[in-house]
Amino acid sequence: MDNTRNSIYIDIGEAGYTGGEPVIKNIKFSVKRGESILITGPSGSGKTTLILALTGVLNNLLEGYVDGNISIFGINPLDPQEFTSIPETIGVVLQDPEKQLSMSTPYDEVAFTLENLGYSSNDIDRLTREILNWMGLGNKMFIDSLYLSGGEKKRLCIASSIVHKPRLLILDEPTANLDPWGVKELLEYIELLKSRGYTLIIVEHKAKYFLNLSDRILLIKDGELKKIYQVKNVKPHDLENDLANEGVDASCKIQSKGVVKSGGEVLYTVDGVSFRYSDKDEEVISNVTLEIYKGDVVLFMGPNGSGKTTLLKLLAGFYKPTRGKITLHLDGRSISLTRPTREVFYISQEPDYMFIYGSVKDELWKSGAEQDVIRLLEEVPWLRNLMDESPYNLSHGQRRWLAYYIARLYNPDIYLFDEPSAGLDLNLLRRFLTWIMSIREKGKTIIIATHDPRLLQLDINSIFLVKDGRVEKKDVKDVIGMMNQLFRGG
Amino acid sequence: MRPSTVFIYGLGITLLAFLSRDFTSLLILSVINGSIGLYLGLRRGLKFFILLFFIGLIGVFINALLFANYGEPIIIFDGFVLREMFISSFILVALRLFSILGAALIFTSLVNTREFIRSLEAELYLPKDIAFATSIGIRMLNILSRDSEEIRHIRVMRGKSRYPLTPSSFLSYLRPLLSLSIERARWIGIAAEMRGFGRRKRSVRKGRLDRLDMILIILFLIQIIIIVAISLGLT
Amino acid sequence: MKMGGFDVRYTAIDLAYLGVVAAVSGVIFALTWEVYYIGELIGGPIGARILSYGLWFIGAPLAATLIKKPLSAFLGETLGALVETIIPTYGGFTNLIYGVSQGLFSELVYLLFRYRRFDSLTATLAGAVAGIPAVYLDALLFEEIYPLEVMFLILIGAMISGGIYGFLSSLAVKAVKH
Repeated sequence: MDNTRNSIYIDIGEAGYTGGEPVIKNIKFSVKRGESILITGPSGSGKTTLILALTGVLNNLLEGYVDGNISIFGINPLDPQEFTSIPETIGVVLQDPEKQLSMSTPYDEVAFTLENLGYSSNDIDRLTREILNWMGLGNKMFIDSLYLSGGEKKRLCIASSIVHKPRLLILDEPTANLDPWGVKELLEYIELLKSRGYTLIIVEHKAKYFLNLSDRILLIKDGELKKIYQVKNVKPHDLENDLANEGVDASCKIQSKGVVKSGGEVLYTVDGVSFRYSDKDEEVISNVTLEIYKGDVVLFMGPNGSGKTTLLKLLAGFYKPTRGKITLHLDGRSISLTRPTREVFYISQEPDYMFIYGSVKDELWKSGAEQDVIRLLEEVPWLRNLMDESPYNLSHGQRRWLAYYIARLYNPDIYLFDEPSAGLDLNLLRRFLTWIMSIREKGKTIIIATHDPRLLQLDINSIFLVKDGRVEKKDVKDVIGMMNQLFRGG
Repeated sequence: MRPSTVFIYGLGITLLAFLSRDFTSLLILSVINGSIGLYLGLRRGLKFFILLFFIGLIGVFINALLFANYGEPIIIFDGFVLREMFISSFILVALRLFSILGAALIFTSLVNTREFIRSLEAELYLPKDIAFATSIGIRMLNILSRDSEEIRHIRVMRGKSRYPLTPSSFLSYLRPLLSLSIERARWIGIAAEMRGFGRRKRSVRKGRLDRLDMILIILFLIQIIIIVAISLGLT
Repeated sequence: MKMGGFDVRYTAIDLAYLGVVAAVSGVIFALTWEVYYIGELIGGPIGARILSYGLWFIGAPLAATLIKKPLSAFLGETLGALVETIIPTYGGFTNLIYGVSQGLFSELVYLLFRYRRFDSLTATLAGAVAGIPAVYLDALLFEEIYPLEVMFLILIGAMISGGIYGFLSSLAVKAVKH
């Protein structure tokens, strides 16, 4: 084993959070210095647990267990003593910047890593400035991290994870929360890191973005390592199909059924609407004029921070426009919404915001008519076993669906979805799309704000592009063309 | 200027205000700190904050009227009799509160949050853990206010009250806030450990002790000496 | 950190929990400020305090039920107070003084149970006893105004309010911690 110091060996028989309940099993692979490995698989297959296991966090910090042997460039992370050397050797970028950033400013965030590792004051200052400049955050070093965009926060996380020049960089779902433009930028940075010789382990269910980047691809399904692909030995087309069959998002091609004509009456008249949160803020929405028709599926597409969520909230009556007017034409009346109402049901990206009761039972029975709840429970058997559970203790996927079912029980005329497909893998996405169409069939209006091109598979009636607070009606073909251009050759 | 100096000053003045019972001591405290505080605070745009104080003072006035209005009548008008206990108690409490306000304004105007959290570890010699937890707390505040705004909208949409006025609505608000926060905290903690937090030794970047620090220290010493002298003199 | 016979290390996760409890306490308190001011205008500091007293004590039961380690109650309340001092809130450094005192009393409850119980019972008691230093400090702050009988009534009110919110805090933690 003279290659120990230049390689990573992972041999996990079993690992989990509680003894006797393994989440991952039979995972064995090695990584050579400078290699890029993609670990992919459907949601919930144990990929994140694998990261926690191989960094030693699972057994040392989370009171979990790992049966096996791990050697990261000669260090055994499972051993409590050697675990303390792990931070020097590895850098980890987690999925969600809000769940990683702990300091007020970018400078402090990056310096935090170096301070922990005992660097001198001078070195801390020099290295921090260097890396922030390199990641394009040089002019934002001392502003509050609050004000960074999603992409900038991601870059900040990366910066703070590589400032100490670790030998291994682990990225957990790096494209999560990023819009396609952000993903493109991220990929450029990752290519750069790869060219600088970093050993990369990337965990990502959207394999499509990383097929070109990776030397090897590991497929993890149901907690086990099912296949290893040597990328240079497989034809791209075969690779894509194979992975797609396993339920992994491998295809970059964006499909769409095209636009179906609107048939209904006018539901919303939006006239010259602008909005800012307060006098001190900039306008989030500028001079928007459009119409939405009853019974339509409407998509507001745009990058993060473009104002689409705010637009949804204005349509829901959460806020009043600072200029202009939004008129809702419902049941023969024409009104301006001044407060939220159950007829216009807004479903947040984060299901936890949606719950108001302490049990699934109450959430269901207190939201809809008795017969609707009974019908729902027949339709969705897994709900029946969870009636006494607190909604917050359900798995993330279950919480998502619970929020959707609650919405349906209120039987609103209009459904507003904010980024509903975030984090959904192929199968879950398909289920969601089917469900949307079933609601639409009942004559409901569905309005979705998203940056996810996969939603173009819906039967869309109108699509609007939202950028920097401005909204423009588009043709689906144009939008697809734009998206495909971003990832040419994907 | 060291944030820790201002912190200790503010804390010290507040403690002195709590412990002082006589008019002269409280007068000194409130005049010195109230005026400096108001000056600095208004310069910093803390008008709203100061306004709240005076609104609070109205409540104190009313309570004093209800509970402490006895003794020799001092002011009589239109059927209202304001007696000596009311006047003296109101003045003492008002002076005390004003000193405390002054201390708070001085601290807020002179100290930057980020620098202060650093100073917890570097100057006040508190364990790194405290500074870290405080930093997380401050960071989470903004995220949580965003959360609570969203929760409020959803509640109204689903037909509930906007504000947590009853125990059950308190719980209904607290659950989602906690759920989201705990999830974030868990990962932030994991990330921090992965970045070597466990091995962190105290960060040694102290601020310099400069003229402003000396002014505050001397000011504090003057006040404490006078007050102690008064309390000894009174016995 | 070592504590007597216990070797209790606070991991960064525990500390992040503390930070988050501090922030949540701060936000909950800010949400009820409207109530505080209305209560204050009508009933003075007394009226406002009776309505909202218990809310000031939730840092301790929240942190303790969540983290379940020695000193968690004290730290939860104190850090919440520190955060409030920094923001700043109306009350400035008094928050810190109250917070430390309340935290100490709440911590005593858990100590008395030998740090074996971090459940609804201890949370309720922790919330209730925090009322004692709070009212005592109030007596110092407003001494000249309120006669002893009134202060006694306030104490009872504060302890009941604290107990209720302490209990509710433990329920909330149980509802969300997997």
